Amino acid sequence: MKDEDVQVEILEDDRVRVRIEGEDHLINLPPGAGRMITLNDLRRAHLGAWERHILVELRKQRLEEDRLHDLVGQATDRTSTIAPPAFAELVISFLAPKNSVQALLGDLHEMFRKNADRLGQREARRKYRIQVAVSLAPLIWQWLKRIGFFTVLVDYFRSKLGL
Amino acid sequence: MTLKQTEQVVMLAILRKQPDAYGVSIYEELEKRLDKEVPMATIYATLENLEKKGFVKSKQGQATAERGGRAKMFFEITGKGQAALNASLNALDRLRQGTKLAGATA
Repeated sequence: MKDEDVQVEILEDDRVRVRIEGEDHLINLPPGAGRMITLNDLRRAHLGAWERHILVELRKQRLEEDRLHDLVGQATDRTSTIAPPAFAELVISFLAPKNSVQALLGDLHEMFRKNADRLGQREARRKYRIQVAVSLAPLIWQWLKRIGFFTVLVDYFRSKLGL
Repeated sequence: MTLKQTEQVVMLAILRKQPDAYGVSIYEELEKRLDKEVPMATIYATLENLEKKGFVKSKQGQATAERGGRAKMFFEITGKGQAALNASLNALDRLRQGTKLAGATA
């Protein structure tokens, strides 16, 4: 931001409007300034000093805004990128029973978030994958029971053996 | 009706965590008390069996952002479940009574 991009208009003895890059900003001057000097005095003798003060204040505000913007951006990025491994989630959603799949995925997601806060995202993802891997056996077993695999198997051998 | 060991421990964890017994709290309780990580799917499979037998009942909670917008499922033990657990633990106690186990404190 260049100094010539800033236009300053004194509104009252303790407030000024600053137009910067087409945007209006209201700036409070240092305490007591209005009572000590008149508007004309300000315009005549102190405008240069106020202008510098205002520019410094504005730069501070801009820096603070940028910093907050960065922080918000980082937090948003973090929230959006913190997600359990998609493939592992897909495996669970395919194998888990319909009535409890959402609760199971929610619990795994909650544990993943806790681990990510405590141990970092990489470790949390690793733990999530392990959790899914050790869950595979009971999930497949349940799935086979659900689809009646064992009944079909028994029926097949019965028919083959003529029982 | 007899209870398997996994069913017993899951039911005991529910009792300890009530009224906040859901997947994660049951998992953490088992991890803390048994010093062992029981797979979440095993816990859910056990809960499903127990629900089929009428020993536990579930109710849906609120969906939260920390769970990816998914709701919790809370579990509680029914009267029938408490009776079955009590009978199962008593049977185990009767079986254990009078035995001498090296290194046992009780």
